[in-house]
Amino acid sequence: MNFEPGEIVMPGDVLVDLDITPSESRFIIGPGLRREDNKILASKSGILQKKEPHIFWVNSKERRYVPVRGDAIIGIIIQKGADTYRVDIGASEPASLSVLAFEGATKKTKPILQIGDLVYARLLVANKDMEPELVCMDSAGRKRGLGPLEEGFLITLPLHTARRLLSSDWPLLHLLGREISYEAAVGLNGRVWIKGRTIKDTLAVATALETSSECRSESEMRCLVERILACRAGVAQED
Amino acid sequence: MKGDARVKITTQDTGKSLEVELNAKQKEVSATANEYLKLRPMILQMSCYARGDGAAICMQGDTVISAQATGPAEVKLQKEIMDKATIEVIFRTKSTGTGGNYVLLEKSVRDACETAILTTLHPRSAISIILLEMQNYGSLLSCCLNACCLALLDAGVPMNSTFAAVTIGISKDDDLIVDPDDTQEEECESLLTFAFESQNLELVASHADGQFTAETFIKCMKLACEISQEIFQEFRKCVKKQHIEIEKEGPT
Amino acid sequence: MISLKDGTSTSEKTFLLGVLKEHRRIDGRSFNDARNVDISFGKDFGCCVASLGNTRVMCQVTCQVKAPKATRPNEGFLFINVDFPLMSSILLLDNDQLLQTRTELVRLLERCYKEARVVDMESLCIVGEEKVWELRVDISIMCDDGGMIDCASIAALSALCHFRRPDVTLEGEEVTIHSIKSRDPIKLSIHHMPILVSFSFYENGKFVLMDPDQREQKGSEGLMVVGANPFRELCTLHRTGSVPLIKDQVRRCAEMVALRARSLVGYIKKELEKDGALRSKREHAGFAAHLPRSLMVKPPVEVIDVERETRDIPMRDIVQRVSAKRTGNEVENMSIEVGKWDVPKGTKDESDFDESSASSDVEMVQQVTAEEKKTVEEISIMSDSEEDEVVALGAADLGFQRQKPKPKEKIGKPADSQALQELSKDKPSLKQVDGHAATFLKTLGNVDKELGKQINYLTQVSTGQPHEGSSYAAQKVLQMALHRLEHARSRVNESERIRASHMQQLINAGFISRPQSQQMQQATQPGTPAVQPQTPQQQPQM
Repeated sequence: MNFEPGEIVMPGDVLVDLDITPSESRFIIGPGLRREDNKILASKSGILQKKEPHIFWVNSKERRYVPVRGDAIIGIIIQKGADTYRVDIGASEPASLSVLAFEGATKKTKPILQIGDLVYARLLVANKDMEPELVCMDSAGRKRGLGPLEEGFLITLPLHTARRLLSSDWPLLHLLGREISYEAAVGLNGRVWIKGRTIKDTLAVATALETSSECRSESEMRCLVERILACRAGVAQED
Repeated sequence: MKGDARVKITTQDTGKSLEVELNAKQKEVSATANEYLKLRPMILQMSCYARGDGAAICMQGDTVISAQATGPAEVKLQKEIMDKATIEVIFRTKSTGTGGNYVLLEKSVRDACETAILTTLHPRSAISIILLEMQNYGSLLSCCLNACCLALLDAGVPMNSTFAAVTIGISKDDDLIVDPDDTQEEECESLLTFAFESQNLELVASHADGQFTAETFIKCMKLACEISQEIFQEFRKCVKKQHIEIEKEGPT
Repeated sequence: MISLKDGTSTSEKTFLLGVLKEHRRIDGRSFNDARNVDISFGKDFGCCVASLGNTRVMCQVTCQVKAPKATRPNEGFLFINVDFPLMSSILLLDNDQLLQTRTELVRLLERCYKEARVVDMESLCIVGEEKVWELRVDISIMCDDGGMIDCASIAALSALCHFRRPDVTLEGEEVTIHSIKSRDPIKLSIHHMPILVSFSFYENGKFVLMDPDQREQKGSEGLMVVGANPFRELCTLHRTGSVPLIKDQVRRCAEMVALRARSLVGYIKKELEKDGALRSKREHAGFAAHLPRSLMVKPPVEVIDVERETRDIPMRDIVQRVSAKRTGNEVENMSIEVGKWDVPKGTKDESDFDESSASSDVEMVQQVTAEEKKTVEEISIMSDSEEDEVVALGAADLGFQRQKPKPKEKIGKPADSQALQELSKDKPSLKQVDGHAATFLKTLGNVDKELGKQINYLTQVSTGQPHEGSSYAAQKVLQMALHRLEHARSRVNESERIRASHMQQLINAGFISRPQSQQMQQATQPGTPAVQPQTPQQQPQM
């Protein structure tokens, strides 16, 4: 291996030349890495990551979403057709969402979604040659938290921030949840929907999430949460 | 000449010090010659704008270019390519009244991008790069190319390699000036710009103005190749500065 | 098929309205707060990058020689151009919308900077009727997060103030334009410095936000752009959308813009000075040396600022406010309104103490320095400019303080006499003496400051520089009127003389007898047949 996990890699950097390394080693490569002939190269700039025993990928800071099958995303309905909705997911083309792809939807009982509504959906089809397709239910037909999102507030974050929110060793959402009761839906396309009991709560959570992309470590994040909760308590007293 | 005159006067006491002076003068002379072979101070900045996918500013001496990369995004139907991403480069001077045709500059940058970006990963989409001239004091094309590469890195567009560009001017005395500023460019007989990619240091774009021999061209190319490696180091430092915040992230 | 126009969801717009109803803004500002402004100048003269929050705009001013218009042979040109680089892109964008925005922007900037005569066009004349300077202002939008118009106006104004044109010498018929390297270039002659500020309206005009960002702009029902300069002169007023507005809302917005213009112009002047200092020391100027600090993308407001929450003034019915005492000038009324809005209610700030000491200021001025007070008043009233609304803010402020009911009116005596009184007691309380002495010194300081301001104003007036309440334009008009009057007078005298000579000739020739000359004199009033045949002859002579 020419680069160790935790180092910066740039596009064109050769991680491994399979002609040279022994053939017993296995490599499973993730986003940001690609294979060309017998070499593994980086295709994005960022920090190389590794998960035991042999999964590698590159963490890069980007804002534009590229659809990946299985991702849960938040979309905005931009067009309404006879039996499909066209949904903007922030990618290079809008996705289609079938009217029947909701729990318990039949031709007679269709969900009523308007243009401008938010939906939390999962990507069923996502490859470079086809238009992405969304569904609001799992393979067994159950909702599982997907579907239209009512009221609330939508913010857009860089992709790595949204991904970090869902990781188990970044407890930002839990820390906020100790004092504030709110609902949140995190889309892997960088969009996060938040709904608190009051507008102040929603704003507090939104500010915390937006500012957390500047946080460099967990301790900084904890400080930020403390400050926000303290201010929120102060504001509540004033009222 | 002064140095020669002093060497003649050799006394035991001053001999050493005179030698030192002479050496210092020689160093001075060779230093100025070497300065022409160095890049001007370079400042790079990524993620400059809150909106847009990727942005970067490249400053080479007093030449400042701002680049914004958007994509892969929706493209107009007429410009769609079925199996590749369409790459577009727009260059704007800050004062449109002075005229000037920059189509050739846009094309050189587009050539470099088309070689470096993995366009087959995003068919029927567009990757658009906007270059804004903020200050132009020489070596415009190489600064544009460097800013463009940084902006693409910032936007996370998949690339098969990065690229860096160097401009070399050839003066009337056949001296090579690396990264000339505007006054030096005016005095140069010819200007050559080379862009190299980082994987195998192969040439991805070149542009030449003026007259030169084939040997000079090869000499300049080799020099540019050496210097571009410095620029790659600068890119790496810039990316490191950007990413140093992310220490731990969960697996996707 | 109907489709979504601007890419924002309904939830965002609904949430925005909900936030406004709680008298908040999403980024934590108050309704009347604008975002932070940052200006950087480039190495070339006339190059400026302005950022307003996350919006960033670059402006470059250039000049070239051109033939003037036949109708205005001694005036130069000012041409404004705005560039949206994405307009010609292959990306799928709403090009119509972009084109419309661009046209609106160009037109607003023209109205504010060209038609309001910011730059002295006659100073751009090189050779009358042959050569004049054409100034070209090119604006590039680098990043749009709402408030593009505001940011573009700040950039354009800073660039115009920063710009220097080449020096020109005339030797008889020959005109020499010196390059920047051979001779120092010359600054433009700027009459006044206006700024554009945009406002957005919601709920049929119930909520008015100053400097809306992209999110707030998309959810608004109407927009208004107001341009004003620090002398409280309105230069532009532009409304879009279908929201009906009360005229007092418009007036209030105009007042806010005037205040903001004052602070912004102060900031621009400071930055210009800094840049000038660098250049005079021959230090490295321009973006390569100084842009990096302003390139940092500022994160959103970090926490909901508690102090900000308490400062937020609840919206009241505007009609109630306007029903204050109508004393004299309507403008004084406006300044009272502004004073009221600025002062927060019920907060224990230092401003309370300032007001009380300020009230004693006014007393001091009235009692001790009566003469100085007189001159202050005189200056305030002496506004020759044709617009009635121009009133020197200094005097108006003092006027405001005089009329506002003072909370500590009982302490009516000035501080120095109080201090002396305290000292004269058998058991003087040193603390009180110190306190009174301190207020007295503070008062003196304020008086000194006010005097200084008035002196500056007077120096400006006396040296013939542009100043507020300047009568330059009126003087010019008066001069021309006087010229015309002189001309008319000389013509009338001329015609009178000719008439008299003709009369004499006729008398000498005997056509008219002498006794009748008196009748003729009486009959020289217009309409008499004897005089009429002569006038048509005279007219062609003229």
